[in-house]
Amino acid sequence: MTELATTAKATSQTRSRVEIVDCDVHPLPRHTDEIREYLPEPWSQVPDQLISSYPLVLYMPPTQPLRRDAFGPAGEVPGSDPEFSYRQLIDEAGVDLAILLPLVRNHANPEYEAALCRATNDWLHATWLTTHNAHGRFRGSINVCGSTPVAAAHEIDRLGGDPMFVQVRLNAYAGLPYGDPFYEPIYEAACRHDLPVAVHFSKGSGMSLLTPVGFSSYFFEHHALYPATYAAHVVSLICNGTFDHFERLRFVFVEGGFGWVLPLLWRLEHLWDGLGAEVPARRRPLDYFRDHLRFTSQPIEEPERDDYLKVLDWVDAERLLLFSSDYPHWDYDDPKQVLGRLPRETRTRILRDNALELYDLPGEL
Amino acid sequence: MTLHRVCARDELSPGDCRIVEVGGRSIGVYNVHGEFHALLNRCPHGGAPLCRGIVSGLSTSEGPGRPVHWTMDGEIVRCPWHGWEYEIATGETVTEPVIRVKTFPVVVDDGDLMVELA
Repeated sequence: MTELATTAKATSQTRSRVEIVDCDVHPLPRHTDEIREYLPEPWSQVPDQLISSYPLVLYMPPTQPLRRDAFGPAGEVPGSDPEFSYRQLIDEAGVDLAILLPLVRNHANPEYEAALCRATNDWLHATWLTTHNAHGRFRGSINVCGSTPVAAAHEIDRLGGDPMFVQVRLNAYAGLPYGDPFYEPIYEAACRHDLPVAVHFSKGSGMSLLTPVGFSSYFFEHHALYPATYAAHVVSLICNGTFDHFERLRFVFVEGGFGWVLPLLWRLEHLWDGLGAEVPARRRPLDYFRDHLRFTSQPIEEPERDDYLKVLDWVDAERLLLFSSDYPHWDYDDPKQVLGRLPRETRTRILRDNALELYDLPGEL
Repeated sequence: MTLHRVCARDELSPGDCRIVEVGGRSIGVYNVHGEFHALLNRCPHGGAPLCRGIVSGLSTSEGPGRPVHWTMDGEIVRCPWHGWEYEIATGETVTEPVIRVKTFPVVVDDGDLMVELA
C-alpha cells in the first residue's frame, strides 16, 4: 500500500491539486556534523551539545520529544531521513506541501546563534530543499537570530531570493517583545522579499523560560503556557503599530494554540477605546489580526462541546488558522484526524487556501 | 468467530508485544506478566499506531507534595504520539473520561498463541 502510494506520487506525470499544506515540519540532521560542516570559525570545534536542537534544557516531555513510530528503518532519528519522512508525512498522512522549520534554539552568545542559524540554513538548502526535493514538496524557513537584527537582515537578503525559502523564522524566546523598533531591520528585510515571519519555540536555558511568577516545575506547565509568550508578542506588535510601518509584514505564530486568541482580542478591542491614544498604533486590534496575524492549528484544541465551533467562527479561524502537524514530534496532529467537525469550506481554507495565499504556493503540483 | 495464529507461545516473553496483521486489522498482542492480551493497533484519540508505544507503568500519589509511587509496572502502554496511557488488560485509559481501545481475546492452542476475531 505504502509502496504503491510512493510510486504514484513520485512518478505521476499529471499535476494534482494541493489539498493539504502542513505549516510545521521539523527536519533534523542525521548527525550534528552535517551542520558543523557549514559553521565558520571560530565555531567549527564547538561541542555537539551547542549544535543540537535537543540539548539538556529545563523543560522536556517526560517520555521523549519525538514520535516513537517515526524512527527510520535503521533507527534513524525522526525527521533526519528525508525519504522516510516523505513516506510518513506525504504518502501516509496525505500532506502535499510541507513547510520545514529546523529549530535553532536561543544561545547566550548572539554571534554564535547567528552563525548557527546561517549554517542551518545552508544545510537545509543543500539537503531537504534541493538534493531531497526532486518532488518539490518541501519548502524552507530562514532561521535568524533576533538579537542581532542587522546580521539577521543580511541573512534574509542572502537567501530571500530563493523561492524554496518561504518564510523567516524567529525564536519565540526573545530579549524584547517583537513589536519593539529594535527589530526593524529584520522586518524591512522580510518585506523586501515579501516573506512572512514565523515564530516558533525552541528552548535553550535561562531567563527566557521564566514566567512572571517564577519558574514552572513541570514540562506540562511550561507547554501549557506557550500562549502567554505569544500573547506578549502579539500585544506588542499591535500596540507598537509595527504593521503601520510594515504594511506587507505578516506574522505566523506556530504551535502556541489558538483558543486563547479570542479573549485576548476582546480585551484589546475593549482597551482600545479608552487607551488607544497612549500607543503608536493607528488601527483597531481586530484589523491587525485580520490583515497581519496567522496562527497554526497544532496542538489543536478540541473540546467535546460543539459550541467550540462558534468560537472558531467568532475569531475568524477560516482566515486566521493554518493547518500544522508538528511532524515528527510527540504531539503530532494527523490531518485526517483533526478539524473533522468543521464545515467543509472552513476545513479547506485551514488545510489549504490560507497557506497557499500566505506563502504564495502553487495550487497544483 | 475465527482464530488467527500469532506466534508460538514461547516466542512472546513477558513484557513483549508482537504486532500482527489479521483479518485486515493491525493488532498488538502482549505478554503481561504471563497473561496474554490483544489490542487494536490504533489509538482512538489521534489515530496513532498505539502498539508501537512503550510498555510502561503508572505514577500515583495520595496528593500534592506526597511521595510518588510507581505502580502497574509492565501493565500500561503509552501511545507513541501523545503519550496517552492505556491499561493493556482492559484497553481502558487510566484517566477520566475513560476511552477504550478495542481488545481481542487471546487463546493458547497447542503451544500457539491465537487471537480471536468476531
